[in-house]
Amino acid sequence: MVGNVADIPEHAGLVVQIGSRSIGVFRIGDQVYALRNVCAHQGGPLCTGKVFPALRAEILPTGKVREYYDYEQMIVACPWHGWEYDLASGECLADPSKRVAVYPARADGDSIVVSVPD
Amino acid sequence: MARRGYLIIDADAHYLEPVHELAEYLDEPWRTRIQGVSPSRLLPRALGDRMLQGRIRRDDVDYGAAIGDSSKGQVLETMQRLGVGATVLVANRLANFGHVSSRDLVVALANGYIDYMLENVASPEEGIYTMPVLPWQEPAEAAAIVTRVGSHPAVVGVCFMTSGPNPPLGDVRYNPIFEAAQEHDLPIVFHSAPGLTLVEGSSPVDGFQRLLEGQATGFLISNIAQLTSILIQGLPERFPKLRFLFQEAGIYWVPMIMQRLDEYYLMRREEAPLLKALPSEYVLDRFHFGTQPLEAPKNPRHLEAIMDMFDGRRRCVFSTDYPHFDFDDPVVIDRLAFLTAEDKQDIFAGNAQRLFNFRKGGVQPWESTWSATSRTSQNTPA
Repeated sequence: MVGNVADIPEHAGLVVQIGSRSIGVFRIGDQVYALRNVCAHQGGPLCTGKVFPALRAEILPTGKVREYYDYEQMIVACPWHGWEYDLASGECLADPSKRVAVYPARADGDSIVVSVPD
Repeated sequence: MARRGYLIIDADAHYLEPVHELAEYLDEPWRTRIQGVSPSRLLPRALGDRMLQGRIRRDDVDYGAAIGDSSKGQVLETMQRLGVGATVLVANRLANFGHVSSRDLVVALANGYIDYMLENVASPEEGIYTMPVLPWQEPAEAAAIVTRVGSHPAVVGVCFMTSGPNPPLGDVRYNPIFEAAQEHDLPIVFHSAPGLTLVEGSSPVDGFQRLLEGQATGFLISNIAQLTSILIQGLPERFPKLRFLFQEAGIYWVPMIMQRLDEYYLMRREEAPLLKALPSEYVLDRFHFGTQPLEAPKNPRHLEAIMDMFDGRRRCVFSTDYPHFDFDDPVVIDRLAFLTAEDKQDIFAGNAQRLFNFRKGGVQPWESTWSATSRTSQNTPA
């Protein structure tokens, strides 16, 4: 148990310390996510960044491009340089070979429960 | 101040100059004109929101949706946080003034900027240095600035913004500036700028739709253009004591343009008769390059190969470019396994100490870390 669900800010994460790890906890609807608070780029405090829907684009039949927000995929952007990570998988959107650790997390009533390996 | 045992000099951090305050240092009518208008009306701006709708954030600098002003206290706080012992501050809003056609405006701003910085911000004993940003549009006035402030202990170089100068800076019309810099033993710092002005046709990279495009190419092309000009026009031969630094375009471009200029020089030597060696040999002898934004390839050996191609261990000077959106933390050098501790100390500080004129005012307290962790002692990181 690392805190209360109500402590998680809107469109942002709650950063908690679990052992030696700094971890950000996020909530989208009923789903809770937990990610390591260290960006794979230069070690920035990833989970102090804001949450956004992923921006996508489609090529229209006219050949023009339409950009739109995809609320099915929420991301956190590192405040140092903007690297984006999928909240669920920890994968970097621009390069899936880069990722941050994610941890099983859930809401148990009003409480947030995060499981981290020893 | 040190980080993991290394003395760190930041060869390029940006001071968000308060234009209305520095206007106090200008003569009329510019004082009144500048105080009565938003800085964005005076200087062309590149397109796009650098901070990506709040994705990118600077907690210690007023640099978000709007650009605020820096203060000396903020500079010291940032240095402390990044582990920087000495910093060379460069103007922020003036970065695009290479594209301003009002010659008396850029002369007034250049004078006001350096006077403001020397009176309010620069402090060699605290490791804060700066440079005048020179208006290429008026070479005689630019040279007068160098002569006027070049002996100040906080002035460690002179700076050109590389986007805008026409003709490029190797031209003999800029000789008065180079003469003044050489006389004061000040390196010439060519600081890249986006070259994206929304003025159609004023730059080879105008017309892009996104900041990413302009940022990735404009800074690069601006530097390539100026390096090509000063090499082929024989500036190192015309001013044999001058030293040169190119900033803010990473390092991958350096071996590319070195090799390309060598190939064309071999075919067309008669168009560059001042040169006594291959263009690349001048680079290896007299030029330095800021590391930011340092490329981070998936295979680090590729970066090592690039560094090998231009003696990067001795040519690179670490730069953060803070608070810009693509700034580099010192970790970008510290984590490179192919560099020895001695190489890292050279890139973090030793190369900059050999390049810049830091000691006009004597040895400063921030240098003590250097002697305490000199290259022959314990500067191996933990």
